[in-house]
Amino acid sequence: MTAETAAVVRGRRTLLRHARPSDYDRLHQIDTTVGDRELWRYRGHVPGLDEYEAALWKNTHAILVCELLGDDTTRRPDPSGVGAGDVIGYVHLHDVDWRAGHGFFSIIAATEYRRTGLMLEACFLFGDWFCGNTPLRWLYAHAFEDNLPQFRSAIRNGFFRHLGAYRSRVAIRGVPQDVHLLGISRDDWLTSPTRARFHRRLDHRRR
Amino acid sequence: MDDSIGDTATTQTDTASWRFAEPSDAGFLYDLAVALDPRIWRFSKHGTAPFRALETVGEYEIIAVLEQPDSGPFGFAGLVDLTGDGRCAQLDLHTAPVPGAADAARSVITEVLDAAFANGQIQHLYIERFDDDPDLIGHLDAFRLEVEIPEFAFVGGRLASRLTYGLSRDEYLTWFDTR
Repeated sequence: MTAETAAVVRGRRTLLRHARPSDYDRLHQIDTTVGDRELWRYRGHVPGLDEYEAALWKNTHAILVCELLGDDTTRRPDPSGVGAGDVIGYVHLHDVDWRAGHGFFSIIAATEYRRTGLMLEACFLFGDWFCGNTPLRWLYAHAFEDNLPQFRSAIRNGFFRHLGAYRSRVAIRGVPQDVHLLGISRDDWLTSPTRARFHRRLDHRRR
Repeated sequence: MDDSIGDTATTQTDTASWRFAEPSDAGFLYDLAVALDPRIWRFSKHGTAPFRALETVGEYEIIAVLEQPDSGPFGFAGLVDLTGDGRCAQLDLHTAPVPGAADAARSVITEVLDAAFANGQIQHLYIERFDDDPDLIGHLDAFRLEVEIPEFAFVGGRLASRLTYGLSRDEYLTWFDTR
């Protein structure tokens, strides 16, 4: 299957597609290297590969992997080692409450692709995917205090609304940390100027 | 503060009291969840079938039944969602949709909080409610609004916001000394 046919949504530099069993090794590798904060869903311990699939899919509705398209020079720390088809992270839709019309999602980026803007594009693509493929009205994401700067641009761009912070909600290595709750509303995203700009650029690229 | 406060298993005020729930209270809790559906979200999000509701009751670490001498149980306070290290917990607090129940709960909530924090491990307590639920803690002037989730669920014919209030142990101790 080519990247094009596998794509669920395609951006300028990345595409999102549903996870396949052949992705689990890479997702496990990402999960075991991203650090404590993202391990919250595993309660601080990523299970071994033999138990990983069940843990990954617990309370999960969809896993969309983010794949790099074409040559890209934004990869860190070694721009020369870039290849199309690299899985650079994933978006995880979980704890969906169909009755209420909301759910939670997590964005996990491989450490070498952080601060490249690639996962921000994946966020925008995911926004389109959830609006087009689910009836959910709101999606929420948790962000730890020291991880919040990574979401600043998405908040500034109107993708996320900052809904508040659960003070001292978790202890990381014994130190209490606030957990921020970020939200995306379907109505906000579909009418967002950021989304309009994003699609104008995509259309321009396709022409 | 007096560390022994809250050690008693029941507390009585002029109008209301609390006691630890017993197995025979399951019927009252179920009836309350159905009467308030979907306002006790922990129950309602899974549906209010009796078997499932009993499983939800089992999620609570401790349940205090709020009652009045003449009319019996009118609400409950349940400690739930303790974090693995026991530092944080949620206090579910609900009253029956009958006149006077919210006022009666307000009269006993201080004692319930004392009992919750008498567990020396808890450092932070959260209370959640929908924006149009009775406000049972605002009069205390102790909790802080931490998170407001707009349009969280369809309740009473409208999309209601979900509010989360928090109280740290330090804030509780300050409040305890000044009240």
